[in-house]
Amino acid sequence: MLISGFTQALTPINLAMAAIGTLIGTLVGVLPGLGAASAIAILIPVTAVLNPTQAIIMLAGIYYGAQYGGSTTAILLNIPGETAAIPTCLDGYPMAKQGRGGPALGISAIGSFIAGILGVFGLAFFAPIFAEQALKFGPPEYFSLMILSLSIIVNFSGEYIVKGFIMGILGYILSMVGVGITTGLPRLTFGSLALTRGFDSIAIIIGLFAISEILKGLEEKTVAISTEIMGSVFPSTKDLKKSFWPIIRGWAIGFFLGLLPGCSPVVSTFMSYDVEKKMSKHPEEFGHGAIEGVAGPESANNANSQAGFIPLFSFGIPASPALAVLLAGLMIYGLQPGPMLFQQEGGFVWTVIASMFIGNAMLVVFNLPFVGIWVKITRIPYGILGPVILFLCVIGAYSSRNSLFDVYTMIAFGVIGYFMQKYKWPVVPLVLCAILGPTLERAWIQSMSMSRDSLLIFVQRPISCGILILTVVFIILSMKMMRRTKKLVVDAAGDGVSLTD
Amino acid sequence: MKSLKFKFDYALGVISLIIGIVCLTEFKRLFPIRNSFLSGDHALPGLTGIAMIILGLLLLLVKKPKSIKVVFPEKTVMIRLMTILGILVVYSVCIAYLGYVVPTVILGIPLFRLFGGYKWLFCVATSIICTAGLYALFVFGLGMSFPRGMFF
Repeated sequence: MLISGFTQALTPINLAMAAIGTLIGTLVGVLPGLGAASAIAILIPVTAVLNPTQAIIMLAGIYYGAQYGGSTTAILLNIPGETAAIPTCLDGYPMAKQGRGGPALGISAIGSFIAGILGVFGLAFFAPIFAEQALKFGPPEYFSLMILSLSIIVNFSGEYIVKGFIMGILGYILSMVGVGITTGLPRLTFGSLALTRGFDSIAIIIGLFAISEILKGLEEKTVAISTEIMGSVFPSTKDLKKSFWPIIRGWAIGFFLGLLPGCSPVVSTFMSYDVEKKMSKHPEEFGHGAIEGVAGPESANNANSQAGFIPLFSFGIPASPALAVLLAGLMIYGLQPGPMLFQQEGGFVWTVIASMFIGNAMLVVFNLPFVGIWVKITRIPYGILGPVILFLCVIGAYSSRNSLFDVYTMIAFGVIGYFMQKYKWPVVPLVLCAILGPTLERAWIQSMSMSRDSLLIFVQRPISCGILILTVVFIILSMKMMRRTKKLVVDAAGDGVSLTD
Repeated sequence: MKSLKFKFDYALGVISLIIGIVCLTEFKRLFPIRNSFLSGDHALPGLTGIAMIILGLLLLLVKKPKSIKVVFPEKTVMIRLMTILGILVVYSVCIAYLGYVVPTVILGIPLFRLFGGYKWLFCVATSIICTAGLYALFVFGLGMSFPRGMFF
């Protein structure tokens, strides 16, 4: 299957899509004002001209390309695009200040590449094992799976879990607006014709992520990178030797934590940094430019992002905001992530997986020799970028359904998202539940019809019961890991940083 | 700022209660046309309504963990931010009547000015180039349809 995936992925159009995706992703990672989630959300409607495989190859490329790009600003500017990149800053920036920014970027790219490739191997191995159970899945199992996806809320709730659940349920309520599934009658529309079409999840996502990021960008002063702190991007043999085991350990941590549904990359990068510091013969060098402190977390981050595709493809559970948006993209293209995806759309899945091998190789080619160009791109002023991104947001929201109502929705959610970010209310649970809402409701209604209103159906069927038990285990495990990671984040960056950032 | 955060959480607690009540009202409206007690369009509004009320009450009544300091930008930046949002609203209304090109060129000028503080002439030129570039890429290149309005 993987070989046939490769033959498809190596067609000129699919190669071009992987290249465009990784280039846009790197650009998004390097530039301020737009994250991977926003970029994917804006581009989903634009990719309507492509077939689903080409579109998802490109969108996935943006996702992992942004991981690479993000390390550039973390190392050279000490600006972590997200909390998961903080460990990279801890030693990457001191290296840059010592004139070793180049080797730090180089080892980050090499570590990410190795971890990414190993991660894709893992994806190719594990995902079909999960998906083999597909034919045993009925509505109760799907409903339990949706409940399992709720475990992600624990990871994205930040300081107070009640806020995460409120946002999640708000997402479900937004997904109910429109026409009822069983009767076809208007529901929660309050007589408004525009609301009978429901809210478009893409407009909500662009508003919550992109518009609020642009507004936030206005507050921040952007700094261009100086090329003087770079040095050669190719690490020395000594650097490579020192980084080998941290890369392997980083991959193992990132990959296996990424298999847990909803396990945030923050957990894996901080855990990897912590492990490297504890295993090092010179822990005092950490925080002052230890290359292992860059190699481990960067590998963990990339392995985690690749492993995140396993719960996404196999169960429809995203591990990060960007994957939640990708999930929306898959659904818009009529591909229902979950156990049946491998059965019904095997060709698509294996082509996307094969394209990830190619995309990871492309990233090294685009990043290592051309890092100077990416550095120069950071000099594009925000005064130009901001309005252009704003116009792109309008185009993205409008073209999803050719509706101006969606543009108004985007603006409204942009304002809401800005205040939510300010007050540390997590927006990811809202997005996730808004996307999964219709699937959950359909599974609930079908399950209740099957069981004649008996809730016991969810525990009487072994797979469904097993998933519910797993949900409880994951929630407890996630809470423990997040509490531990929160302590590490506070130690590294102070208590002003939230795990939801 | 600490008190501001508290008020925001309190306000959202009240909003959660209101949303919960709205959902329960919708549950009551849809209940007569149900398939069964737990199956039908009424079920999820009912369940989410109850959950929102419980969570709203929890937010209002239960002591919350230590709050994070909320910092808003200074007044001039805040005004700039509000103006940009205002322009965006005007823009989205205008494109319905005037089409994509004219409002994008006209409202792009103050946007570039507000974002970058550039000279007016530079803003006019950048706005025209940006509009033309986006139109060429999306309409000619990708074959997408933009709002047409009175013009194009």
